Amino acid sequence: MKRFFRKYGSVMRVAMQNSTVYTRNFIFGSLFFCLILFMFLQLWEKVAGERGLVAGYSINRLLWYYTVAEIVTLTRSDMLERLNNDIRSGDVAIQLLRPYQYLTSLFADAAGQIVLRLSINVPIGCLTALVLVGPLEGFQLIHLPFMILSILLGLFLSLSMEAVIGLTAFWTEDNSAFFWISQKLAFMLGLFLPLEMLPDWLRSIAVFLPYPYMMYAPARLASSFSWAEAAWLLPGQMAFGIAVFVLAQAVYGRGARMVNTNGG
Amino acid sequence: MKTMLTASKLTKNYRAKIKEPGLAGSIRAIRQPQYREIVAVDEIDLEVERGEMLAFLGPNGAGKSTTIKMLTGILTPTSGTMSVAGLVPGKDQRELAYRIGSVFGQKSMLYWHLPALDSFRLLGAIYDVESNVLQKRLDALVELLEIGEHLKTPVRKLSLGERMRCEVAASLLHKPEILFLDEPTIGLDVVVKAKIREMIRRINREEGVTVFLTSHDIGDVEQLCRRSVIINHGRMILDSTVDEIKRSYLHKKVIRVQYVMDIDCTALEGFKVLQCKGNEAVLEVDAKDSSMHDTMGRLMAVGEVADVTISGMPMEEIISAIFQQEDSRREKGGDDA
Amino acid sequence: MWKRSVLPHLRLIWDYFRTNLASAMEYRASFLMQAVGMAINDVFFLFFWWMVFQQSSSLGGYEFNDVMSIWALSASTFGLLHIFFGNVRKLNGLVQSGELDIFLLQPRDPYIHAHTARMNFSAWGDFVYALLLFLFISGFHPGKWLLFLLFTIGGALLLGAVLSMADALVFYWGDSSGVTRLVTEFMLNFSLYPESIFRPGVKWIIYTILPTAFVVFIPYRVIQHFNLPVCLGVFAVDIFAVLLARKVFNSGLKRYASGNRMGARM
Repeated sequence: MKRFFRKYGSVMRVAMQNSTVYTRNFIFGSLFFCLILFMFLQLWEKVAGERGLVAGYSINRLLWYYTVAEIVTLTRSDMLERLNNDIRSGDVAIQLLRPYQYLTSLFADAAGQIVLRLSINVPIGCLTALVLVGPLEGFQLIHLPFMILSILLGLFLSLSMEAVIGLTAFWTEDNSAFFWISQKLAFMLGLFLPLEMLPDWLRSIAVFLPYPYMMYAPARLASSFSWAEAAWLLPGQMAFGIAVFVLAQAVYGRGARMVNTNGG
Repeated sequence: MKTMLTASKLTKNYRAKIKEPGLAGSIRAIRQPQYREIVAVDEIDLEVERGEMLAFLGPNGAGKSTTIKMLTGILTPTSGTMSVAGLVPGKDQRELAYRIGSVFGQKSMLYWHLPALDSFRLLGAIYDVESNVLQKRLDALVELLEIGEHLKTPVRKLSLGERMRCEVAASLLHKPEILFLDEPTIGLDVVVKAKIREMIRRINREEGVTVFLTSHDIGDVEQLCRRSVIINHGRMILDSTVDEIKRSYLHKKVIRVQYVMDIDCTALEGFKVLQCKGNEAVLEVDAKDSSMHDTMGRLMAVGEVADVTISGMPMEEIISAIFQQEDSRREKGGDDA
Repeated sequence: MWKRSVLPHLRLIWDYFRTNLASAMEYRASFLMQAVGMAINDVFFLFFWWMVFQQSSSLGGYEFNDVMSIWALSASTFGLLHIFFGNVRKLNGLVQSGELDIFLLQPRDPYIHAHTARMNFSAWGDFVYALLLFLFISGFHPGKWLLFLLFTIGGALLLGAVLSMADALVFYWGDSSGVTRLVTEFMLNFSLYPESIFRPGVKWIIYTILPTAFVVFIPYRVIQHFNLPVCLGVFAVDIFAVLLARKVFNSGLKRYASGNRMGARM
């Protein structure tokens, strides 16, 4: 166990050091974050009008919803690009020879990038939301651990999903279409539109898909926490996270065997 | 007008950012960037006659590319003057563009998915070549470069050598007076290399195109050029004919000695030892300084000799010998920045 | 003057358009996939707006059809720009890979040449989708269509000018792809939402430094209620922006040639 952490821990640390080279890009990424929140605020204020309420969300809660949903979306790693590159260039065959599990080290690397980006995106997002609409209504400190847990589970699920899509590179020339469609589904089922805004029939389908558990779950719990919802959202996140992660391992196993037998 | 290209005291300095290693270094470099002046090309003088083939040699990072970029007008020199085809690169860039052709290593002018012919048509339009003139020109180039059968095949399906010949054709469509070739044979196998060299020779002979060629492949030089210029660390260290270079290093020999048992390398003190490991040593000796008889005697005194081979220096090693001399001179002079 | 200063550029753009299209046809599958992918992408956003208007039927006077029209205009503009000038926003990459050199070695205006040399295939998806959307909303009304197409061309020039100016920072800063991305996002975001939602401060911005008002909002008003002076004014702004952007590019190019920033790579 100690060796495990030393090995993958250093992979993670190097990833974090590498990322600081792109400080300038971080700054611009953060500005982009502010822009998006500001645009949403303007839009939904107009939609809410006099009522001040959209699908049961006050403007304050809705903006905090978007803040958390965007934190999860914007905190990306280069998992997909790495997998695509490594598999297409045949590097993956070389990685198979190294004394560590390739996919695990990719997850460790991604975790490094994610920690770093979170440490920027969380303060930027919270600060922007504070300036735009003030502190979150009805916030209680006791909810915080569950919010954080939900964000981390959402990130883990997104990352595993990316891994699955990236690993299809073993079989397809171009998997960007899968990524796009998956990303757009995630956008529509949680990022741009909270489930409460969807028609009933769509909502009842959506809860059986992994997408709402990436952005909707943490954003919902952060903006309008209730024990009742936490009781099904958090287990849902865990179940989908584990399922998709196991799927990624299985897909990788198949792909790696194929490379081994075909010699890349 | 017999001179095609002149450069005098051509110099190019770069400012490079320096960064200390590690996280702290990265942060410091952002807050307070440190710069270091790098002299990439240092007072180079050149003169190339019309119709000449000149090899411009040097190891990676010697300043070859920077020089060629200045001569083609992509980069402005820090100081010095130059003229190509009677024009000033960078200043008369538009006119110069019609007069020069260039093939830059791996940077392709051809559309990957299209037959080369489509790219040629586009280039014809870019260079304002009338379509009937272009057709005649193409016919001539097809014959010269033997690319007739490749014109209608998508470029991605051509071999590297075939593609390179098409690249060269692309650079000659507008009948340039001088052709800049940056590493034209890089990545090619021996047979293809020979073919490309043959083509370049033909272009030079039959079209009278001046050829300015950079390479770190000695074969290019030996087989193509009568004259070569060698640069290192941005400085010109030699400008002479290829024959002369060979002649002046002819008396140098490389001796490879194999002993029966491992030897003590310190016993070879006084020789110029290129390599000494285990029971084998490689030495360079100058026949002018010491007689072969004495040398052999001393070598045999070191141990029981199993095998000896003596050879003249290949061009490659001649050049690396020149570089080494130059480097050690610089170190002794202490003027290394 | 027309013959010497405009026509050669148009010919160059046309020649590249033809060659690039031929190249796209060589691998139809990938081309279609990219274009269809972009169109699907657009369908998702149609869904988004549909959902938004479920919550409220009017956004400060803008209704679903208005938002869709604005959106059609901005998608066609964005699409057309990337079809004819596929290298827009790619200058950072061109400089870093040294591909820019090729355009300096050839006897054409480097600003136009560098930008027009490539075609962005997925942009066809945006463009065709936008046309269909506009057809769906406005039907076939010749006057409206003429204005729509003219404003698409003008808007593409303006949008291209703004994006290329942001991208030209690479000459001064080294890697500036972050700025380019950000300016792109701002331009896109400010042209995809109805003007009525913007606060006064933002209105200042969209009429000045990030002039999406001239790309979509004013054109849309002119398409609805024709007004010749305003129409000509918009085109004047478009042309001015292109000339300015070309100037910015060329002065940046001088720095590129002096190569101060490019130190590490020789």
